[in-house]
Order: sequence, then C-alpha cells, then structure tokens
Amino acid sequence: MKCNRCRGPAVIEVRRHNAAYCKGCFIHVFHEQVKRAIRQHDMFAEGDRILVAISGGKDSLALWDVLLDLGYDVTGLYLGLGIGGYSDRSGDTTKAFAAERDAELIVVDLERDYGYDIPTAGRKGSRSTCAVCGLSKRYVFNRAALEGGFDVIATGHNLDDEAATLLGNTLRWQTEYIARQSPALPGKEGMVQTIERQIRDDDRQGKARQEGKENHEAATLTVKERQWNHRRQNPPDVGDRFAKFAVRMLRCDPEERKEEAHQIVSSPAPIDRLFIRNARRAGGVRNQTSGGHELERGQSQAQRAEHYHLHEDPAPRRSIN
Amino acid sequence: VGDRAVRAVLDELGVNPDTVLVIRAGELVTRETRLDDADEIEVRPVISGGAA
Repeated sequence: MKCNRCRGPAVIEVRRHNAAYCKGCFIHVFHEQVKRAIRQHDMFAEGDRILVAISGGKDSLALWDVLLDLGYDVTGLYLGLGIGGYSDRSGDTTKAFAAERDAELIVVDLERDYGYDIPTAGRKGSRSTCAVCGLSKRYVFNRAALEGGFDVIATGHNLDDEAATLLGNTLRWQTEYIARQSPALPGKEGMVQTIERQIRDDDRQGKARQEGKENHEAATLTVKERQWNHRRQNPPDVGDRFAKFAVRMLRCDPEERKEEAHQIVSSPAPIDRLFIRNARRAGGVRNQTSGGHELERGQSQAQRAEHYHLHEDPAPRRSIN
Repeated sequence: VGDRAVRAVLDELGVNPDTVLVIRAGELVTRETRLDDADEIEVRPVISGGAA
C-alpha cells in the first residue's frame, strides 16, 4: 500500500478519506486538517492565548502537540480528579509531555484546591459521578481561563465523541442541545469561548502513535474497478456513516441543524431512516431492507409509516416498569 | 503469526480492522502488510475516554 501523497510505503489508512499515508505525510495532512478547521470555524487567531484542557490521554495530548507545532500561544491545564491510580498516571504523563515539549502547564487538583475528589463527591451528592465530574471540569476550566486571561479553551473532543453526542441527543429528542452542539462555542459572561477538534478517533490515535505520544491494485485496473474492489473489501460501517453525518450536521447553521434534527425525530422509525439516508449519501448502500420489504427512495411518509406499522404520533414511546 | 497479510491475521482473530491499530517493531503497519513467521505484532484497540 502506497502513500497517497508521496507514493512511499504507507503506514496508516484513513478510510474516511479513502487514503493511506506514510508517517511524514500523515502528520502533514493532520496539521492541514487542523489548520482548515481553525479557519473554517473561526476558532481563534494568531496571538490569542489558548488554554487546552488536558486529560493525559491521546486526544488532548495530540491537540496540545499540534497547536504547539503550529506555533500558537498555548498552555495546558491538567485537572486532578482524584480517581486513584488513573489520575496519578494521567498526571504523570501530562507532566512528562509538558517537560518534553517545554510547554507551560497549569495543574489544578480538586482535593488540594477545592477540598473534594470525584469518587467521594459522586457518592455523597444527589448528582451522578459523571455529572459531578463534568460540572467540575466545566467550572475549573472556565475559572482557570478567566483568571489566567486566556481567550479560548480548547478541548480534545474528537469527531467520534461529537457523533456519539449527536446520536444521543437525536434519540432523546434534545433538539435544543443539537442546535447548541458546535465545534466552536462563543464566549459569554463567565464562560470563555470553547473550541473542539474534528478529527476521527483512529486518525488521532494514529498521530499519537506515529509520534510516540500514546500512553496508555494493480495499475491496469480502471478507476471504476478499483473503486468497486475497494468497496467490496471495505464495506462502510455504521461508525463511518454516522461520522460523515456528524460532520455535515456540525458544519451547518444551528437553526438548519435543529430543523434537520426535527425532521429526523419526527419521522417514523427515525433510526432506520437516519442510517438509510446516510448510507445512501455515503454511497455505500443503494437500498436497505427492513422486515422483508425494500425501501424505495421516493416512498412517501405515509407509505413509510405503513411499512413500519407505526402510529402517526411521532413521539418516542417510553416504557414504564 | 505466519507468512500472511495483517488483514488475514485480524480476520482469524475476528477483529474488525477499522477498530484497531497494528504495530510491528514499534511502527504502524497497514492491513496489506505481509508478516513473517518471526514477527510479533501488537493489536491496539482505538478507543476514546471521552472529554478532554
């Protein structure tokens, strides 16, 4: 397998782009993707002070790394959550990375600075551990950014995270949340502007691996034949389809996104419709069967409802035990 | 692992190639890469811990 850019031996495939790259070209392409996303979403400008939230995992470390490579004024913020050995290892990895890159790092420890840790607070309060953790992070990130005079907070959420959130909000009918989901969230009083990255998890992990920063056909074939062979050998999976859907959703206007979400959840059998539509857009599936019947492109809403034997009421049914 | 392509090894293990990175001697390899009998590979799942 050859690198799409330099034709040298490839070491990583990026299925979403139907491409493969050698180490050097992959990192180049990765950097270009980041630059394009920053520009496209007007995330920040040269000279802005960026506070990047670091967990010690591959996503946030790769984000920090690439922003440093691109010459931005970026400082890491590590939040010690007090989750036993996990937090200790994450903290050590983060400090080692900062030392290696000679990068500025702010360390906040919940136990030391706020008098609690996440496991204890999760047990004592009325909120779930995940809710306490999320709220604590949000508060500490914003406070550290405001007190430190930073212009923007950057988090290492990747496109898979965004797709998962989008799917969850779609299933729960949370159209307001869908409208708010964006790679760049504007600042307001008490909240610093927040930006997230838009690269798939495997791309990010590949970059981390390439840089040692992880922690824990034949020429005679026609283009059509090559495409067919590729499709046959690499059937599209649901994750790929949904990631493409997430990219499209996140790039459009919030009101448009809300409208699209309304259409999805208002239709009968929203999940089937969602995946069928995205499979078609991704070009991987012409028709998909359900219940032994084939769905046709021009099928009306009523026909679809009949097809799925569903009621007209589009509200999700809830079961009460 | 035998004289086979990475893809064949992953097939035998029942692993979807899109969900893992395969590493040989500290370097990533693609699913088309041929492996020798003497090669040792690491199959690392691609997972995300969530925020930050």
